[in-house]
Amino acid sequence: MKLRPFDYLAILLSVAAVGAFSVFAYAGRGKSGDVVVIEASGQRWLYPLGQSRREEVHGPLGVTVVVIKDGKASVVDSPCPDKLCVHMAPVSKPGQWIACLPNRVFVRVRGDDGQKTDDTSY
Amino acid sequence: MGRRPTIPPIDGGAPRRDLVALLGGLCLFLSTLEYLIPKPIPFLRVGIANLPILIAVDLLPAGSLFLVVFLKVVGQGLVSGTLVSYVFLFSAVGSFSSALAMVAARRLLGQRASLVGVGVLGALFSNMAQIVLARLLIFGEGAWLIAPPFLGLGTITAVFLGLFAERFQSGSRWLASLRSRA
Repeated sequence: MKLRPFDYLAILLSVAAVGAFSVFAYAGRGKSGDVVVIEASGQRWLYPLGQSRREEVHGPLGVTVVVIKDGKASVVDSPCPDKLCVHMAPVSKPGQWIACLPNRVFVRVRGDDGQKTDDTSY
Repeated sequence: MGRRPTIPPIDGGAPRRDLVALLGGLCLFLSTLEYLIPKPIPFLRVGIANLPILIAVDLLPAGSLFLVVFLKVVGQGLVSGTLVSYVFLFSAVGSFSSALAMVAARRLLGQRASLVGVGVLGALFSNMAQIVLARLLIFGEGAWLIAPPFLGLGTITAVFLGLFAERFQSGSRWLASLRSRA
């Protein structure tokens, strides 16, 4: 079949949307990110990527465990049924993310744009 | 394409009701197939369950089309067990946005777009609506990071589903008999 004019326009519009979001999401890619942003239950935590740690994040289903180690963040455990977040590769570059939808936890890496990380207390 | 005449909506009464039920059932069946396909990242789907709705854009008046969408959304919620979770909200908002966009696209563009263009616009609106919802309800600003792979894959699958729907529309004897009866 032959595509019609507005088919091309619709595809172009979609590709433009992907492009615009890519520029937004992946700006600053290449250099390694510095800050791990964890968003859950309407709260947001920032942690330095360079410091190994283990964080337990509470969501509607229970506790999601996020581990930062060797400059990479990963989800090692989550109470979701399919464990997609646990299987996702560790993230280390700005724009990379791991999401656990059922437990509403979102982990992403951000370049250090001057914002201070949350203080750590022991 | 281009030869295909605009199909008059199936006249009311029993035939249209049967068609709504048939398409709704088909959505449900295709949803079960969809869930068999492993998902590499949450959100990403092929969207084969939307095929009956794409075909229905040229078959049913808007009201009946939304009824099919309603059947699909509730059916999917039952099959996947998400009917009483917030995932259902995403499914419902995405499906209805897409249906609205497709009906609007067909009305505004007429035959200057095939089902490929109509489907691509439907996918774009469905995915954008879900990203905005994710931004508002769950993830905060991080939601925008999901957009590129989500919208990108959505565009690709929509093109293939659109091509399939066009082929189906021009080749299906079932559809041809429906049209001749209408």
